[in-house]
This record gives sequence, structure tokens and C-alpha cells, in this order.
Amino acid sequence: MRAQLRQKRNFAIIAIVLLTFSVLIGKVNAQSYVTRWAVLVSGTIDCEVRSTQFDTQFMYHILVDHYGISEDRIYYLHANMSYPYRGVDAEATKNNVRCAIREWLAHNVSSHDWVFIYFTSHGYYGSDGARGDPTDETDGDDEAIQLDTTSGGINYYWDDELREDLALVNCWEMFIVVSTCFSGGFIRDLSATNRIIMTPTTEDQWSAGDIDGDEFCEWDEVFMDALHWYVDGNDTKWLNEQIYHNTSEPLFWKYYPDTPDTKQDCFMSMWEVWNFAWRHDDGKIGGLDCPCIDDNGDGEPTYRDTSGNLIGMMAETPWTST
Amino acid sequence: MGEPKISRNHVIIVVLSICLAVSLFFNGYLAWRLQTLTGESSSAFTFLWSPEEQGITSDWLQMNASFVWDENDLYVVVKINYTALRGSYLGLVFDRNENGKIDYQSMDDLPYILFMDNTTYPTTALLSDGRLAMLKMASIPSNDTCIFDLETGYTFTMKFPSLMRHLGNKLVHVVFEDVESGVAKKFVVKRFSFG
Repeated sequence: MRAQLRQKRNFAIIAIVLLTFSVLIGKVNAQSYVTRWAVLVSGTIDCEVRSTQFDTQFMYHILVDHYGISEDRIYYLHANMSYPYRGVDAEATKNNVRCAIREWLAHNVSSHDWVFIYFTSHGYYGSDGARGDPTDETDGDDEAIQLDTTSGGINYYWDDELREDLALVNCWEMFIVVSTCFSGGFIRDLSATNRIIMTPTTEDQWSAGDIDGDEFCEWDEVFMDALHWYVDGNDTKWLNEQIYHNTSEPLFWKYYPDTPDTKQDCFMSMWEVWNFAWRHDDGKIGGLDCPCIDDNGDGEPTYRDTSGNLIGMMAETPWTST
Repeated sequence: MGEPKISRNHVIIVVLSICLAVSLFFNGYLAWRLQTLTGESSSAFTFLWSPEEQGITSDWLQMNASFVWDENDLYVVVKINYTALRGSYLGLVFDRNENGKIDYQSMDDLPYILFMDNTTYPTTALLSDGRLAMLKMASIPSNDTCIFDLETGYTFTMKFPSLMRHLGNKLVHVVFEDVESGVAKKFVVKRFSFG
């Protein structure tokens, strides 16, 4: 009788060990077979924020040249079609942007793929009752991304519309950055358990364009610097910050006193990237930027959930390597 | 029979007197207002930058700034002899919190910005180099105006209702920037007391 019990216990232990291994191996396999896709949108030709035109250029360079994402897996839409920016697929009209998500992305992406969507433009807001769900905004306003292009004129891509379009994309994990004024208002609309959403400001705050004159919007600049983290041979922590006019010549080098890789594990998580951007965002001066993150699907633009617990479990998962 | 005739003359005299008095009153009021607008309460300044001191134009850049009080309203007219039609703005920051200095990155001395297309921002920030921060929202229509002339350049006319008439400190920060210049950061800054 005792021998039978021992046999059952050993069997249970072996089963648990095997089950644990299979789950871990499955997870590793799932991650190793992840295909990465991206949609980049530079949304305005307004000269006041010409920096938005270079934000996406630098992001494109980072994704292609540093993260090895194939150019044919990036759909790049740009407002200014009068300049031959590298890699641009289409003008950033509202119709083209929606097609890029609803058609190109939704049809190509599979359920184990990773998707990155990046908007940089002017922000806008309007009465919640005018479109989509008329009661989904606690502040009474929908938010929008302004799409102001060379030939398409001015149009607005509303948060309700983006939510509808993203619902068609079935992927493993989605990382969304909306960098506009009032962009925190997108979090409530786009929040889901498999999504990380970052914005440089809240739904009722403005966001800074280029303050230091290096042609990048402030939050985007430090966010991309974290992605583009570089430590030179002497182990001083310089970040390569370059304007990418179809050239690889760096025009700016900026020194940061710390590193995005706070865990010192040579891997950077979105949580580390977001924290680095928080620490160094010049746009926070004067009460402009107020960066937000959501990664637990609760729709709250904070790093704590409704119970007061720190979030970041999903964002802490390393996906970027140095 | 004679009483009505005297009475009619009296009436005419009284009416004419009243008209004269009213006319004199308004003439006196207008004269006083004119004196107020062009007298002690107004001030004008001229600033010059050599081509080496500014990268906006290859000639000398001149800024004429006039400050005129109309009771509690302040009118500011700033002329810049920059004759290229470019995306640009004029920024003004007053020492609203009366701490004797213009505060950077502060909501107390809230900067005002007027773009050359007669638009503005609801808010912005004064940067450490003297420029104003650009925002990721489209600028909105302003009640103030900017007129561009190919021969004389830009004329920004702004009204600040009920602004700091009571303040002893009339410190102002004025900045003009060509925002299309991008990395080159072409701008001029002047800080002075206008009263």
C-alpha cells in the first residue's frame, strides 16, 4: 500500500516536471518563431512639428538596421511625399493608414506574431457622441491623430476607428505608440491584455514637439535613444542620436548619465525603455508631456492597476536586445 | 402772447448749449484718450542684430516693439524687417507672477505665442535658450494678427486684455523664430522693461 502511494507520488512529480518543461519549451519556441511586423505613420507636414517627419525616419532605421526587421514587414506611411524618405510605402492619408492596418497587417500577421504600430503627429479631440461608441469616454471627448498630408489635406483618425481596425489584427503581442497631444486618451480605447500602449502625455495634456532643435520630438527622441542604446568601447554611455536623411552619418551625439538597461542584463524590456524615456524627456518641462503606459488591459493610463499594484509584468518581458 | 416766444428761444438756447456741452465733453474725452494712448503710457523700442548676431537674414535684423495702454488693455505691436515668408512666430512672456524675473518652464509667466498665420497655442513653455516650445497639436485661430509685407516684413499686433496694469514690474521677454529653419535654430531674443 505504501509502495503504491510512493509510486503515485513519484509519478505525479515526474508529470509536473514534464508539464513544466513542455510549457517552458513551448514558450521559448513560440518566442523564437515570432515574426515581427511594424506600421509607421508620420502624420503631418506642419512645419511647426517638422520633427514628426524625422521621428519615423529614425524609427525605420532602428527597426531595419538594428533590429533586423525585414523591410517588407514594415508598412511606412508618410505625410510629406515631396521628399524621398527611405522606405516609405504610401502617403499617410486616412484611407491609406486604415488600409495598412485593416488589409496589409490584418491579412499578413498570424496569431504568434509581434506587431509594432507607431504614430507621430498632431493630436486632436472632439465630442464623444459624434462617432463610434458615444459613451466610452469618461471625459466626454474622443481623441484623434491628425493626418495632414501633401495631397490628402487634413483628416482625423479617431480612437474609436483605430480600435475597430486593430480588432481585425490577430497577433501574439502588440506594441502601440501614439505620440500626439492628448494621446493618453487612446489608452482607454486600445487597451487589451496582449497590448503594450505608450503615449507621451495624458488625454488632457499637450505634448512637446522638438524643443532642443535636433529635429526629433522630445519624448520620441529619448524613447528611440533607449531602443537605439549604444555603449562605446570605453563603456561610456553615449546614445547615438542621428538625423537620418538617407545617410548614416550621425549629426548629434548625446550623453546620458545612466543606461536604459537598468537590470544590466544586456536585454531591454519595454518597461526599461519607458522608464528611461520618463527620466530624460525634456518635453515634461513646463508641464507639457506626462508619459503614460498601459500593459495590463485595464484601460488606465498609469503604471498601477486599480488595486494599486505596480503593472509592468508584460512590459518587463525582454524583447529588445543590445 | 409774448411768453411762448421767449420760451421757444430759451428752449433753442438750452438745446444748443447741451449739444455744445456734449460735443465739448466728447472732444475732451477723445483728446484725453489720444494723449493716453500716445503719451506717458506708451513706449517704443528698437533693437538691431548684425548678420553675425543672428542667422535669420544676411542683413541687419531690426525689431520695433511698441507697447500702448488703453485703460487696462495692453496693445503690443512688434515689427520685424525679415522679408522672407516663412513659418515663424513671435513670443511674449510677461512677469505675471511679479517675482522680478521671467521664469523658464513655468506656468506662472505663461508665454503667449502668435504664429505668422494668425494662430496660437493654448499654452506653451519658455525654453532655456529663450525660444518657445512647439506642441504636437495644430495651432488654433487667434484674435491677434500678423501682417506680412514683402518690403517691410512682419507686423505682429496683439492685445492683452486687463493685463498687469497694476503691476510695477513691466519686464517682458520677446522672441522671434523662423521655425522652418529646423536644426539651424534661427531666432532672436530680447528681454527688457517696457514701462
